[in-house]
Amino acid sequence: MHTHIYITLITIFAIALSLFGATACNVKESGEFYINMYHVVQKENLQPEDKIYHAASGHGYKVYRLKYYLSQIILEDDKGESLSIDVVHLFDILTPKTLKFRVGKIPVSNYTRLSFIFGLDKEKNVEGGLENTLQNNNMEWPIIGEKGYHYMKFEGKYDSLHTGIMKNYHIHTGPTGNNANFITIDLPLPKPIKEQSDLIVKMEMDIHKLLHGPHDYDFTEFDHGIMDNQNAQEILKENGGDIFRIVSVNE
Amino acid sequence: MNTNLKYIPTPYELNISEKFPELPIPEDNPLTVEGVELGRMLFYDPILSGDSTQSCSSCHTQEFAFSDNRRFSVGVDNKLGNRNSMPIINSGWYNKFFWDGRANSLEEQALDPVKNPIEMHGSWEVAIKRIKASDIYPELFDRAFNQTQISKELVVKAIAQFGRTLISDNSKYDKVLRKETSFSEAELRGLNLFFTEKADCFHCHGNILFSDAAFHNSGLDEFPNDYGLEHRTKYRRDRGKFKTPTLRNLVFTAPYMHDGRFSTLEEVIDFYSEGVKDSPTIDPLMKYVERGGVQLSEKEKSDLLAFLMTLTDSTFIDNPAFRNPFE
Ligand code: HEC
Ligand code: HEC
Repeated sequence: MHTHIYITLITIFAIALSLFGATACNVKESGEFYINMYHVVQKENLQPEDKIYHAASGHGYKVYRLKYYLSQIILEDDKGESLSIDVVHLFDILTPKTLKFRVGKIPVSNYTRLSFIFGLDKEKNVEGGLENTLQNNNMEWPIIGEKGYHYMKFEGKYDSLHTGIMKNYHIHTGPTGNNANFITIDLPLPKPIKEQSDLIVKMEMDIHKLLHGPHDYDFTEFDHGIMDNQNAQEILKENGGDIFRIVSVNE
Repeated sequence: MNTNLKYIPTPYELNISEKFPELPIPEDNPLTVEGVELGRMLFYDPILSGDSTQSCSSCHTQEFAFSDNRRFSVGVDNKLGNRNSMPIINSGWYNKFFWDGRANSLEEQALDPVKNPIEMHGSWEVAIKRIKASDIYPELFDRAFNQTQISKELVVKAIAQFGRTLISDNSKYDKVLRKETSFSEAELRGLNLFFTEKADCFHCHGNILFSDAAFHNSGLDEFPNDYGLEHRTKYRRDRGKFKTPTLRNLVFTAPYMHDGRFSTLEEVIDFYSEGVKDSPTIDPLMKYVERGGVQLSEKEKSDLLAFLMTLTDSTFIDNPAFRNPFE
């Protein structure tokens, strides 16, 4: 997959580091930055399709597919310097290689915060806003008048009447009208377990949280699609703020 | 031992509508004019089949958009298969082939029919021997690959090269995207059904290929006879899942579905509207399953059909570059 990375500020770091590097030549100036994503439901590792989970509403639910964009990464270090990385990545729980996301080369520093957009901002979430690849093509949001991309496709089944009869749900999020509906995530980075020039962030997404708190997502109410339902989009936007957690750095 | 660089193959220039993503070409099999031409000959030549009566084109005919018009294709020994032939349209963008996805590239795919007992029922050994003994092929392999050592790997490389050129990007839909023409009212209403959650076809057939190339149980049967993807993966949860076929050139590719059960598009649309059957492996993207489908009115059905017809590209079935070179 192509990822275009434009690293601003990198030159400042590079100059600073090359001066430093001239005196201490055993110190590496840059390292690779990875985000390794894991998906859980509460504490359990996600088992797509097979396992039934329980929503607060009492409905059982299964997760079949989950794909979503992460973009616009910003790293902040202990000196308050920030590094923005203009990148777009599509995670897909059914394609393991997408879950190990190589962001790119970054200068070595003590990074203390990581923020990113869960989804795509207004500039990218327009027709033709992303590179023309089949993966992006498959995420298109073709609704006339508000074209762009799904920022998340989350599909599965739920127990509709608490009787074991499974019905389908499709949680498709994207732009409606003027709302781009993306979510900004900002997380503190814990101290690295190992000191090394690479930065390997192990991150977890809790799917259960997306369906709960502050709002309980109602499978029954939003039964047959939410693509033009800003109310449902809003609920997911508010729920989506705290679904990511950093498990460890350089484990 | 091949140091013979007598020939330098000519790169093959593809001219594809810019709405399509870049065509992925394997590094070890670049498209060349000579390779494509050789592939085309092999595609049309019965030399590959057990009794020299059948070629790829017997079941993948240009006039049917490289599918055939039978419910099940007939192999060399008059053996009837249990699956409907698939069209070869824009296949270069796929990375899974066959209804159950058992091949990962066009090269790998082309290995299968030659030895398949319900298809060409031959053996590669015999086919290669015949090709080596022919008057024309050794020279053509030399020109295409700088190789006189003919092998099945080279045969499938050539066929795959030809397969990658079978591009259909000139339907009315494509022309509208390129702003060369516009839709009629009915077509536009059909497009709105197709690309919204009303008829919701686009979540599986939505991209520029009109196939997400993924596997879904679309609710044809409560108890599928053909287990589809489960044959390959052995997972019970894959029962009745099949590769999403493209919707381009549907007018030429009847009958429809993996078993060719529907002979008209009206029947297909009725199925999505009212005939969907629930089962444990039905795809979550199928809507209103409890009511049998998306429930379209007669007018909506005809609008949807009008839109599907805009995916017809007659330049594809008339393209002289794809024709039988022996005729
Ligand atoms: C006897 C009829 C028959 C012959 C001969 C035949 N095919 Fe097929 N082809 C089929 C059928 C039937 C399928 C679907 C089979 C399945 O999924 O199990 C198919 C599938 C394919 C596909 C997969 C398309 C997709 O979208 O996944 C390609 C490509 C293809 N054939 C190319 C060839 C080539 C190349 C040859 C010659 C080497 C050939 N076929 C010979 C009947 C035939
Ligand atoms: C859940 C994914 C999904 C959805 C949604 C979907 N399809 Fe399909 N479609 C498929 C699959 C998979 C097949 C092949 C099924 C088989 O043969 O078992 C198929 C087959 C077809 C075929 C037959 C093509 C051929 O060459 O045999 C047509 C036509 C078709 N779909 C049209 C539509 C229309 C129109 C809609 C919307 C009303 C739609 N589909 C919605 C997945 C889907």
